[in-house]
Amino acid sequence: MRRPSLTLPLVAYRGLWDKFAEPRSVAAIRRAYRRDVACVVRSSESESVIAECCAIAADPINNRERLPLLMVDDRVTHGAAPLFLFGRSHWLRCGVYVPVRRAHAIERTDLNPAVATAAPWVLVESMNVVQVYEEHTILAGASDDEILSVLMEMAPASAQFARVSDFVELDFLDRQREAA
Amino acid sequence: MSLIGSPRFPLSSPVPTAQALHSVLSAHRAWLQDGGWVYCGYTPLDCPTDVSPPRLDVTEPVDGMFRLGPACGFESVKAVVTCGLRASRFAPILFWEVLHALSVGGVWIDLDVESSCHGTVLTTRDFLEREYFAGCLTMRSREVLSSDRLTMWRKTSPSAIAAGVDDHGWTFGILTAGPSPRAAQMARAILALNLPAVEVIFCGPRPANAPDDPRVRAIDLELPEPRGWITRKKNLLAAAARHENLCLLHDRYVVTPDWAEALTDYGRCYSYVTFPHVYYAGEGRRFPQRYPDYQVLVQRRGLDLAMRSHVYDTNEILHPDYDDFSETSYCCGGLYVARRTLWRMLPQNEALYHCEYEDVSYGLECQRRGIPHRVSTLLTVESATPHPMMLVRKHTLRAGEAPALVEVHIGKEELAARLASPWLSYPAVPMDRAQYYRRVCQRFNAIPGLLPHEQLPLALLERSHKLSDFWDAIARHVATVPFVSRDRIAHLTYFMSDTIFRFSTPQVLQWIRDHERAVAAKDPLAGCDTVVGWGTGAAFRTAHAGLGRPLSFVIDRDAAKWGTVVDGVTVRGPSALRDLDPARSAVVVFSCYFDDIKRAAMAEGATRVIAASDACAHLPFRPLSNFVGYFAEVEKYYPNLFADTVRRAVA
Repeated sequence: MRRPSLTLPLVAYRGLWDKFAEPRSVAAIRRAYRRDVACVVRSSESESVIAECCAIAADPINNRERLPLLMVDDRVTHGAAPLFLFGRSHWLRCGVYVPVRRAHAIERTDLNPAVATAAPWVLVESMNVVQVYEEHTILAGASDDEILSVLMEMAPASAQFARVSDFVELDFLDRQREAA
Repeated sequence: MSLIGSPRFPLSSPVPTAQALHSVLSAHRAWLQDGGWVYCGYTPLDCPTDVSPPRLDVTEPVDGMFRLGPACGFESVKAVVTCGLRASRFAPILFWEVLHALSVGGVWIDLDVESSCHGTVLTTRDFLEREYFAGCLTMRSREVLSSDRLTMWRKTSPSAIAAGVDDHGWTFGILTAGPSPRAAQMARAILALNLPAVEVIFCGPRPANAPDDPRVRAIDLELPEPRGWITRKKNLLAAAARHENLCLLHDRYVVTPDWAEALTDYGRCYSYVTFPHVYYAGEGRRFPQRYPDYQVLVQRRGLDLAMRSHVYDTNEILHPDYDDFSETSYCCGGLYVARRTLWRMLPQNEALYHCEYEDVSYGLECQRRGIPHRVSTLLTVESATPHPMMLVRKHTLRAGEAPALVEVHIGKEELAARLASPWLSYPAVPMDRAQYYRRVCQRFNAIPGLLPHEQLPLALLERSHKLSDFWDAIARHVATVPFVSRDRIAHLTYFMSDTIFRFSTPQVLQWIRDHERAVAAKDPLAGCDTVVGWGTGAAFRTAHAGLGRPLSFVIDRDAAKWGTVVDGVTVRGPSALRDLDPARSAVVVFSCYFDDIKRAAMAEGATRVIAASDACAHLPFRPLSNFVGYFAEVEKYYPNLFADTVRRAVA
């Protein structure tokens, strides 16, 4: 059975990390853009790291597809967090970021922010960003598709959804296996 | 007469009728009057009486070895008529060969079933409209005739490879990394080949004993790249090459004099070619086994997704017969024979590194553009090293049969021969046993964050004698270490990548995900936001790290300890439990007085009280357990596991 969540555009939760690039490192971010995968960074990251990530996203050699660099304001601890994308020289509010731990408490108004872009982005964390041995009683039994279904029902029709995943390359494989 | 098919390679769709062909030939006789035309098609040719018979009616068998060059020459045929080619899996080869037989200014009349002319699984572009063809062909007309489509083309410029077709020189580009002593031997052998002109370029460190010859030079990446930037290296080699004929290869081949004849005899009209690869598992070229050389991706759906993501399912990648072909066949990255022009037109994707399916992606991108990847059986090249994952089994695809996954490729007779004369077998692991064990142990113990008692003990080296027992001991040890966090599990897989085989990232992520799920299924602490300990004695100090997750605090009934820190954990009194949500917290008891403590904890409001021995995250890591089985099988087929085993056998 096809999973709708797998059909969404993917955004890397911590870059495309692997043996050579630590999760959330600049190297992992660079690897993601070179492999045509957008990334989300956190506003709590150091300025120098964010600046490097901006430079990577702005470089056409690293980012052939001109994918956006996204930033979530992770100081926000309730509801959906503000989401920004990097324009030429500054950050533009473009939508909201839904941490999976708070997905159950999202309200309709959370998904309809005033944004600078034509259609608000709604980035939804996949369950896979939660390391399984950690707490997630609130989400016990929930799946990406169930969460997505609820959020899509609440979001404005113009909203564009994307899925934030910590296992992007495995998601690519899962997509193909489903297509086959 | 017509092209000759084979029951092994049945046509996949109908071809135009002889009557349809007859009508087309008659209608276009003005283009075919001087007799210099060639017919290449599956529909039998019944030449109309008002049309001069063709100079050549191609009646060759069609398989992966099909060539038109020997009969037609290069770009020297004034007109070609093709019919029904798209019904064949060899269509890309047939079209390629016909294109290069056709002269500049020549006319190509193509007739085929209309429904076959709308692309393939690889692309919606029809063959003659693909990039390579579009560079030199212009469509003059297109019409639908009943159920057929007739197109007429003019070759308006030379094919892309034409400019360099008279260059008989060869550039051998060898990728090196580290010392590469074999690369120096390869260079020496290459310089001795009977070829008109030769140069050798190393990309990577120049080997210490490389020949001191003006025909040998070295280039390298600007900065070292631990990932193995083989795409960039190959692109650099192609850019630096002085000759049109390229042979780009890794540094594990045995170059022999017969390479020269194989390279020249194939002719000058080729795209991307490789040769069958073999590894000899025994002395005197005994016990040959196939090495990844020419593969096919059998996946048919989701190809576009795969090509965009550069992620492929390894169960869809098989070794076909050498005379077979598919649009999704490709030369493996170990050795390419290629035209410099083509490589420069379409360089490899430098966003991909070693073990990131760069060869699969490259093959598909070439094929999508009309540039086939093929194999020549004029030579079998020898790899000096075996493929670590193909010591016993491989995925095979025989024409007309279902895929045979993980098929054993060592027959009974060969096995008997290996066991009867063990001194003739090369070792499965090309190093001494103790050296291998030490190397693996050292790498395991370099996993970040391992506590002293989590490291592999030296006793392991003394107790093991083979591969399976050694790896079984490692697997058992791993089961006692809490590899539960994603980061830790990842480092365990990196250890395997460094000591067994460099696994792809999707494979590694799959293992991580599967193990996390297994841990959660077993974990009595799953679903708890907060975990606290009870007891600060020796049991706590030795076992709390084994939980695999941090404790919020630890309880001790001794008030003198409250507020202190033991092993990084703050000590508090039992009443601290009252501040916790009992539904989302757990108490882990580090003491033999479990019953007593449980009563006390529950009196403070706790509802989930667990003994430490039940909470520690001990779980086998399944991929490791699977490799124990793999190595046990290797031991059945390789009488000599290590280099010193061979020496003892010989002695």
